[in-house]
Parts: sequence; structure tokens; C-alpha cells
Amino acid sequence: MTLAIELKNVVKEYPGIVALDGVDLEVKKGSIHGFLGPNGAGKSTTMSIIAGLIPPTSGEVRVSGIDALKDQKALRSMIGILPETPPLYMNMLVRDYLQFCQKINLKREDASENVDEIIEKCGLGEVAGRLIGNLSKGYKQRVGVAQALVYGADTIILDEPTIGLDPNAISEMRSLILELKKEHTILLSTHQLHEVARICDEITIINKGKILKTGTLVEVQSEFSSVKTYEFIHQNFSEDIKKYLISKDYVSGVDTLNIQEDQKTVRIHINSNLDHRAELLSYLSREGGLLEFWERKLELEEIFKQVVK
Amino acid sequence: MDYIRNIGILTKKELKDNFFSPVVYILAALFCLSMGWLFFNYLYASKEITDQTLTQSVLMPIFGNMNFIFLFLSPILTMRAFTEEKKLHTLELLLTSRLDHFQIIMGKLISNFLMAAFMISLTLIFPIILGMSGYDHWNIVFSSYLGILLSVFCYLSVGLFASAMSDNFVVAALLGFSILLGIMLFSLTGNATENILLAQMVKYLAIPYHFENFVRGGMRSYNFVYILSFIGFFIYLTHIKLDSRRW
Repeated sequence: MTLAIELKNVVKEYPGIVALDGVDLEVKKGSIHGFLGPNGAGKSTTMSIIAGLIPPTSGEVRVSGIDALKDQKALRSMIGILPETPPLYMNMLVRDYLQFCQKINLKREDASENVDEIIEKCGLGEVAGRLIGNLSKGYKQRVGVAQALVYGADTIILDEPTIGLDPNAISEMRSLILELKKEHTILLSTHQLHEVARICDEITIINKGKILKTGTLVEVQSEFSSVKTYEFIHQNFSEDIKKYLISKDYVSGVDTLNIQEDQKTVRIHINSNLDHRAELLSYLSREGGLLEFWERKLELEEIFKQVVK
Repeated sequence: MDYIRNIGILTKKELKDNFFSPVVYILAALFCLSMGWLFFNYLYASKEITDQTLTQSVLMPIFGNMNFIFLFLSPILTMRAFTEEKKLHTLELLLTSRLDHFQIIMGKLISNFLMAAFMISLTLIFPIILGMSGYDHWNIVFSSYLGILLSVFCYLSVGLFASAMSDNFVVAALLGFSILLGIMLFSLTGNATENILLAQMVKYLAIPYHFENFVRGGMRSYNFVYILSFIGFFIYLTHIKLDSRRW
């Protein structure tokens, strides 16, 4: 698989502070890569280095195979970035602003991307003739995204694009990001973990300047699920069933989570790597009253808390 | 050609921003008011002074005052050039674009210069009035305007540097004004020594020393060398300041 972004052993030091400590990161072409970490973990620094805003102290940065540290000019046409605070001129009209961004980034003959197409793509048609300063926060973020697209970059870096947005605007931003995935690689940093779980193909968790976990969500989940857990909803769950389950040597615990009228939600903790679902399902069905049965995956939020603690 | 065009893109955008802002019109109005009042007074007083030409009694003091007023106006014109960009986080947009530092600085410097030139152009009525009363030393008028434009260009380069140095536009204006005042004081410092050579050297560093030659109509090549070096020096300092964001 071709890599859109590749960081090898990237270190960024400020006097007395190591902001990034040997960061390795790979973002596959055409994917949405979630970049997670608590505040001050080094996300924005990493993104700024990829976008060429600041140089690393040492390490290697490649964008679409090109050495981003040596060929800054080529980098300009390959990476578009929406920083945490969108760089917007409040007294400019949306269309004028995007045309200005295009002009300062592309030679006249290279300006193949049509500003009007990008305006439509980002859902800015209605506000194209309005002053940026008068737009809502959601629209301002969209103008920021449009700014990152306007010079035809293949890879887009979005640093917390949903910060401060209302639920509707977050949903619209999600749709926009998924739409962009058709033509772009996206490196997305956000604190909205459920959004990451919904739209990202791969995730990377960073803390204190070090990459802690990276991979697909399933890979990260399975890595953290050393104790398998199953959950089921049963109408006739009794002490006898519980005793039977606990008597099995591969069951380390049984918890009743929720009781609603005659239905109980129960969690079984398994301490074996073998698949015992068939056996458990067969027993619980035999007892009668089994409504649902599923393997519980760790939520991204739980994984995040475990990784960064 | 493309290099110049890039400067033009930023200059055009900056000019549009500035002319849509009321600040430039307020400053222009205050400038016109004070210059008009001064011109009237010098013209009126010139009736009494019979041993001086109109150049000496009206034109030279008017341009001297204009130069002094721009000492205050220039830092106000440039104070938002970089501080506003930093506040809006748009400086990164410029710094990551294909514009290099020189293009960014020149784009801003030229747009501010054009604003100042617009304000100065409002005083063109003065030589027209003098012309109507028989004044015909147009070469002095031309060299005085050239002098004031170059002098203001120097002030603006200092103001731009001050704007790059600070995150707050009030601080930027004060810093710009302080640097300019410091440079002006070289003229007085020159008077404090009896060493003629040292006095000449110190005076050479002050902008008014060179500006006076323009107003007298006796500019020399070293005046142009000084002005170009001065502007180049502050453009270089601004470049270093912008570059320091990557350190």
C-alpha cells in the first residue's frame, strides 16, 4: 500500500522540552487516519511538521514519497492543512478569500482546481458572497477546509475540525470528511472519539511526544482486549445459570449489568483465548429466554483512557 | 515576472483591506486638517517675511512638518500589518504559501506605502496654490515630494519590523515610534560633540539629515545609498523575525 505520509524517528526539541520523541507514523493513501492524544501530547506539533510549518530537530518526513524537509515547494501542492484555529481573514468574502489562497499557493498555469467547485463541494454555495467574519462557526470551519483543498492537495490535515461545533455542524463536518475521502487522504486529529470510531480507517494514539498505539481500530481493540467479554440479554437469567457459568474454568466472572422488568443484561469475562461462543450460546439457548448475545469490544474511549493514563 | 506578480497579489489584498477600513480615512482627515492649517499659517506669515523665497518660508517648513507628522503616522499605518496576521493565525497561511519572506514583507510595505502616498497626494493642492501666486520652482517641489516619499518608506520599514516583533498592535506602534525617535535623536547627538568627523558620522545616521537635502533640492547619491540601506536593513530584520518562528 502506498503511503501518503511517512514519519521516521521524528524528534522536535525546544529548549528544555522534548515535544516529539522519535515519532514514527504511517498514513496510507486514500485513508482517513485518526490522530489521537490528550492536549499537549504533540499532535499539533506533528501536524505542523508534516505541513512544513516548523522543521523537526531530526528525523525523516516523507509526503507521497517526497522528502518534505528538502523539497518544501513540492510539499505546498501536496499538503493542505486546516489548523486548530482556521486561518481566516474576517473582512474578506468567502470566494475572494479562497481565490486569494489559491493565488498565493499556485502559479497561474497550475491553478486547475476551480474555486467554485470547491465552494460547492464544501457546501459553501449559499455563503460564497458573504463576509467570513459574519459566518457561523460551522461555516467558518468549512471555509477552513475549503482553504486546505483550494490548491489541489492530495493529503489534507485536519486539526480538530469539529472543535466548538454543535451536533448538527459536527454531523455535517463528518459527511464532508467522508466525501473528501473519495479523492484525498485525511489525517484527522480530534477529541470526538466516537467520530473517530465511525469514520477513521486507522488510528494512532500519541502522548507526551511518543506514539503509543497505531493500527486499525479492530487491531487496537483486540490488542487491548486481553480479557474477552461476552454480553447477553436473557429473560430467565437465574442464580443457577450464573453458578453454571462460573463453574466453567474459562469463565473468570459474571456480572449482571442491567435489570429491566423480566430482562437481564449479563456480562461474562473469559480468561481463555479459545472461542467459547458456540458452547455458551448452546447452553443459554437451551435454558430458554436468550434474546441477544454479542462479543463486547472495548470502546475507543476506554482504550484511549488506558493508553494515555 | 511571476515573482513580482506574487508581491502584487498580497499588495492588492492588503490595499483592499486597508481602504475598506475607516482607520486610513480618519488618519487622512487628521493629516489634511493639520497640514492645511500649517500651510495656511506659513503662507500667511510669508507676507511678513520679505527676505525669504516661498521655498524657504512655506515649502521647506511644510515638508519638514509633514516629515515629522509621518514619524507618528507611519507606525500607526503599519501597526496591524503582522500583529493582525498573528491574531487571526493567518501568518501561517502566508508563511506556508509559495510567497517567500521578501515577497510578504514587500507586499505589505508597498501597500502601506501606497496608503501613505495617497495621504501625501492630498497635499498636492499646496504647490498648485503656490503656482497660482507665481511660484515656479517645480524642481524643488518634485525633489521635496521624492524626499518625503522616500523618508516615509523608511519609516514604514521600521513600523513593519515593529509589527513583526510584537503580538499587540499598540505595542507595535509604540515600538515603531520609539525606534524612529531614537534614529531622529542622532541629529541632536551629532551636535553634542566637537569632533566634526564624529558629528558628521552620527548625523549621517539620522533620516532628517538626508531628507533636508531633498527639500533643498540638493540631493546626492549618498542620500539614496543611505535610504536604500536603511530600508534594506529593516527588511532584513523583519525577515529574521519571521524566520525565527521556525527556530
